[in-house]
Amino acid sequence: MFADPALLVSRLIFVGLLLEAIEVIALSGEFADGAMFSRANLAVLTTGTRRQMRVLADTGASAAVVAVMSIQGGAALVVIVDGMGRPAGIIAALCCVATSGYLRSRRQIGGSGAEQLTFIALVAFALVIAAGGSRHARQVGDAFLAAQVVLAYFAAGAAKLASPVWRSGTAMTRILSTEGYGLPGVAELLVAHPMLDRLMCWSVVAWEVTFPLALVAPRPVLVVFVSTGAAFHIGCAVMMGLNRFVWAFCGCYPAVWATAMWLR
Amino acid sequence: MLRVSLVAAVFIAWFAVSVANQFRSGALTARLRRHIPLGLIPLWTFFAPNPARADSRVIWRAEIDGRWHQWQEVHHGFGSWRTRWLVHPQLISNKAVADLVNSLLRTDASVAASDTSDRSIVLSSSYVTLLSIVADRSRHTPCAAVQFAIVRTSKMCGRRAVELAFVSEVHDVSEPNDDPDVALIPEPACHVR
Repeated sequence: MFADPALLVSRLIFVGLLLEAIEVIALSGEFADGAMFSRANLAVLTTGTRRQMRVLADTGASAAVVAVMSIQGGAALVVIVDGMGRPAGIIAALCCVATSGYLRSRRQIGGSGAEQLTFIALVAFALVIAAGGSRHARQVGDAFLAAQVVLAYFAAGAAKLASPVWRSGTAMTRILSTEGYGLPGVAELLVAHPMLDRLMCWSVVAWEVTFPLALVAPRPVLVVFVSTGAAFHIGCAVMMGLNRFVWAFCGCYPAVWATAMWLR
Repeated sequence: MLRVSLVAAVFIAWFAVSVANQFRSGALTARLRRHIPLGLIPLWTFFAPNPARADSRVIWRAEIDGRWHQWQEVHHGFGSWRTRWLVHPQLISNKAVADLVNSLLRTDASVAASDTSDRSIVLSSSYVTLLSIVADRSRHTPCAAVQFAIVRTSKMCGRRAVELAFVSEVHDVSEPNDDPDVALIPEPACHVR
């Protein structure tokens, strides 16, 4: 991802950042005084936390948030077009570190694992640049990001394996019966065919806990892991509305690929 | 080369703390999480161990002229399944509500476990934030008091299941709303959970 910044797939997380900017601008009213993410509410939510947790948490009303997200959208577009290898793309990516950091502090609640991984990738990129941005520094950054992706899948798979709900094979029916994450008809389909739910649950668990093998397996197996992951995240976007996980996780697959090649 | 080595050391330490953080019980990682901002120390569980089985929804009602009005929902809507695979702003607001509700219910459970007459939950940040959101909704009505509740809903085979998870105390908002701190000070319990 960092080692091959010219690759189109190395720019996917910036598509996610562009979508985040659009979504937050659509929600800008929620950052106004009196609304859910008002400065007063954020001051309450961060009361008693360390100073570094409160930095910028209650700074800027909805106009400021819209301005910052507009900058993020523009910067993300620059990286999508130019990549992270040339000065304009590097500056734009570093700009996204600042805007994304501001949003994370200013909002505090309502975040997702996709945003978290994206921000970790951005901070890792900033450290790579701080280390000189050489090919070696970029490889180290890729290795770190690959390790985080492997950890994310393995920990999530292990947590599911420890869960009686996931082991019984009813988790997908439960999730898809909510209105927030559900899809009309699919929950009913799983109720009618419990074996399908069991198969889906165990497929997710098996794929997640075995994902670390992607780093050391032969290239065809790596291709299977990565393409299954892309299909999994696209499926989650369509069925559950987890749209930005596609861009965050698939956007880090180039780091997994580069690290797997590096380990050979 | 020195800078690369230094950054590599930072990455190794960061990853080690990330691994340790997957075990929630670690006292050291809990302390680190309190110091490191912006969620840089991840906890990757994704719908485990207890996957969502219901939507958390906040409802509220107002007392106007001595009469309680109908419950209303603080509703942010759900994204259309036709577009949410691409753009899904409602996910952020609904997740924020879920975060507040989960925090509130965790606090409620721990308070109730120690002392059922303990009212300290009304001072928790999630309670005050939810009350503030509700109080803002009632700002344009001449109401004397507000109350909110958390319900959990799910939909299966066309039928909606509703479960009451929490009912707040009644809060006097008849004072002038110029100073929100004054308006949000909870009155002694008129309603019990």
